[in-house]
Amino acid sequence: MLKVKNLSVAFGSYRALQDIELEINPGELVVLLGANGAGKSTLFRAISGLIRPSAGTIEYNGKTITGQPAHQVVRYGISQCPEGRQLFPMMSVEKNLLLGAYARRKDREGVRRSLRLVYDLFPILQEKGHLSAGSLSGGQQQMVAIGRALMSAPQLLLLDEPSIGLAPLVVKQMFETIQRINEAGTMVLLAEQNANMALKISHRGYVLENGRVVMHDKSEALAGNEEVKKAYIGG
Amino acid sequence: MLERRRYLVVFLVILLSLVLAASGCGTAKPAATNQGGSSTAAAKVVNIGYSGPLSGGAALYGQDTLNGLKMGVEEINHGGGITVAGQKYTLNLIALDDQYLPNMTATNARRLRTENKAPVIFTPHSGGVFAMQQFNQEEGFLIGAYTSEPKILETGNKLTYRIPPPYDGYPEPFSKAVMEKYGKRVALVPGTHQYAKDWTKVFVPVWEKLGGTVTGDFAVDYNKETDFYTYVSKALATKPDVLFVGGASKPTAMVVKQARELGFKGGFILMDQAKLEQMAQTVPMDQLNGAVGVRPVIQFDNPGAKKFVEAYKKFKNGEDPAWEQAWHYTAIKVVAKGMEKAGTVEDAAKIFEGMKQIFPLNANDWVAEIKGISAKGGMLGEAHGIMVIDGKYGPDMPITLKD
Amino acid sequence: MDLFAQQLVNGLTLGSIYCLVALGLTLIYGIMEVPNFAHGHLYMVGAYVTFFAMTLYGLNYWLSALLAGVVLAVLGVLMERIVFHPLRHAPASNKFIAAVGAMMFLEALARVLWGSDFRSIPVIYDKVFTIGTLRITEQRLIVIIAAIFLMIALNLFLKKTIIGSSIEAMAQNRDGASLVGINVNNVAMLTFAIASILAAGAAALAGPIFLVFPSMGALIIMKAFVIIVIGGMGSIPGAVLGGYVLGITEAMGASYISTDYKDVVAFLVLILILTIKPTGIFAKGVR
Repeated sequence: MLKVKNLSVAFGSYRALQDIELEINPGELVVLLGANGAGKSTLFRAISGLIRPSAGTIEYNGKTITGQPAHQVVRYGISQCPEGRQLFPMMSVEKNLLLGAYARRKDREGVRRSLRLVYDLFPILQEKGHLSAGSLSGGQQQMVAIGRALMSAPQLLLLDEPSIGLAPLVVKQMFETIQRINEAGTMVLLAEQNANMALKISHRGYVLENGRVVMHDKSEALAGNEEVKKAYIGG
Repeated sequence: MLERRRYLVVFLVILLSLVLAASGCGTAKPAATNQGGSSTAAAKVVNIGYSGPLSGGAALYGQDTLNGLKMGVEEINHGGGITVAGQKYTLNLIALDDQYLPNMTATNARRLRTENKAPVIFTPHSGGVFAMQQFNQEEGFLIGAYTSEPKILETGNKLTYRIPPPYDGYPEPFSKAVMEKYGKRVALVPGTHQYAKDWTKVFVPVWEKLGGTVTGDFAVDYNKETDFYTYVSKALATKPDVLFVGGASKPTAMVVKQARELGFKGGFILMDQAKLEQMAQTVPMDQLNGAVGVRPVIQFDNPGAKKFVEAYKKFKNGEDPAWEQAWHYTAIKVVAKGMEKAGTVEDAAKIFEGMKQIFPLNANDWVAEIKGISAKGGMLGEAHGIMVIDGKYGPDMPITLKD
Repeated sequence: MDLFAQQLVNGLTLGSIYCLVALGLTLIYGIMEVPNFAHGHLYMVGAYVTFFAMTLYGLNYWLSALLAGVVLAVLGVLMERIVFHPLRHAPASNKFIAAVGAMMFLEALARVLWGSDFRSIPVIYDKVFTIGTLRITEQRLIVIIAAIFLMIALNLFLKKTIIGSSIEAMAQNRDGASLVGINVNNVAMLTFAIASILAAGAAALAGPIFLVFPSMGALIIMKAFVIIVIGGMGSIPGAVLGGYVLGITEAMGASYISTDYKDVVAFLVLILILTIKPTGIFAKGVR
């Protein structure tokens, strides 16, 4: 399980995150709500080790991982599908996926199983396996990004706005897939602007505003909260 | 952020000091050659300036010229220095790097003159000489010009001392020798530096006057180009009997070697900048067959030349000297004698006048017989050519000098 | 026509050397995003190592080349650690200055250690093959073939091994590479090692044909820089194509236009390509 305590991140004098407290328990699918610039991606980058927090700790399965480099964090079982996908655009889809398993490349059998799993989740990727990732449509690239994150066989999957820029029908499929991944035993932390759907599939949720957690509760409770409704669900 | 910047500063300082330390060994530091005269406690020091290519593609050439001066200075100081108007002096050589660039020679010269009060500044390239001629008379220093470019004495500069024989004596005897043996068609593959261009301009009319034809000009930058095949291939496509080549010795040797690889069987005319004995270190002698160039100083058997070669080998761990070293060694001794004669170590014009009065110099004590210094300022030494025949040096080819 | 064939072969020889050096430069550019101007000087050191291995220790040519590869791999890693690693978070201009500094340092060091003399690596393969009027020496043939061999080996390494792929991954997306578990430090060192081995290979191949001297690196780095601009900064096929294009253009330009304008022709091609395709023939991947 992941425990974020008192976490702060500063860029110069700008404080992007302040005293974040967040927890993900085994089996949970947790959603992180927040507007653009609220600090969702910063929190993800801090957990993954891409940036160093200025204060606070991140614990994973009882072990402090604060300040560990990104390539090490993957090896603990935390995998991120980042904002903007961050694929290797000139490489084939399959190469992108195989590189997702870089940290466990010696486990050939396991890698093959993971690839099978990803292809089962996203059959279209197998079809396009030899095309360069950069040539795919936005939705398909998003699938590659999620697939790549799954290739490390993570216990905790961080998904940063996987639905952004996708057609409504595809978004629906995407959320079903996420739910299926979670049901198979993977913890998921999902950052979303599309609160309506995210709250439907998640167990609990946090609301982030200006770098602070302003609310956290069970998903049903959040979905019923007037302020949340006004700010993130609309209508 | 701060930590990072400090890291960078420390690193850059270390790097910079390393670079400076490294280059300082060869250049900026005055070549400390004045320890020799320790016996004369009251001896004063007179600085001698040098600005030449000590880094970059022509660095070897620069080092060779500087070594001649160093050896001369060391010998003079070991002998107790010079006595000028009753006062003992030792010589101190200060060498600066100009990377073969005339504008840097000018900067160095101003520095050597104002900071070190050098009355004489040597430079081994015509560009540097022309640059210094712009201001040397006002600032009152003598240029020790190591270049066989005749034009440096046509500027009317009164304080230019040309050290080696001018090259305009070479084209005719060289042309005659190869033309007779190989034929009348020459292709030009010289360097692209100013010196090579000027040499070519003097050479072509001579060759044509002797009834030869030029099949084309394929000049190539000897210091920048890595491969000469392209040029040599094109030159050979014009079916020449002879190739006219020249630049620094080793690249010239590569041109010769590559011409042989491409099937060329004719002769070569070498500009005086290229030294046969240095080329022979890269190309086997039999590939140099039919090459005509300046006769190496190590091939001379007059006592003065032999003595010099011996002494130089001792000075430089068995290394053979070329004319660069020989003429610089001679020149610094001529300057020293001139100072003694003139009774001053400051007035460049008087020193130059004094130098003119020490001639003639004979070939028993000096590397060559030297008649004097001409009115224009050229030293009248000897010049000799030589041709490689059957993988060996052929007979001596005396050159009549025009100046 | 004879001249054409001869110049084509000459251009191929030159181009082969250019390719190997430019490949290293482009690989490092992909990782550092700054051209390593000291790369040409690694090539110079490679030539000296080959030279001394053969003349001082009497090693055979191929062993000497191998030794040069090993020594240069170590030197490349050291350069990354000492010069560029401390600057990994610094702005590009700092790395740029550091690269120039490393270049000056290596040249000055070579001058102090080995002097300014031109040296030539002994030629073992000096037979000359004649096909009609076309002449080519054994060594030049070796240059052309060995360069192709090295390039194929590099390609296999980058494409077929997962370790090799990590270099390309890092060049295409740094964050993406870190997130899948690729260690930036290891990849940087690996890239410098490989680029340096390529430089050593180029030097060992070219050594017997060209001269060896301390500033030889400055000449080749200019060409390599032009090549990676032509080919697209960071692009591997671009470096290969650019290398051959420049080599052949130089040879043909010298032959059919004028030897005086040889470099001008090469730069005209550069300008032409940049006018038509400002990012180079193979632009680095879209982000």
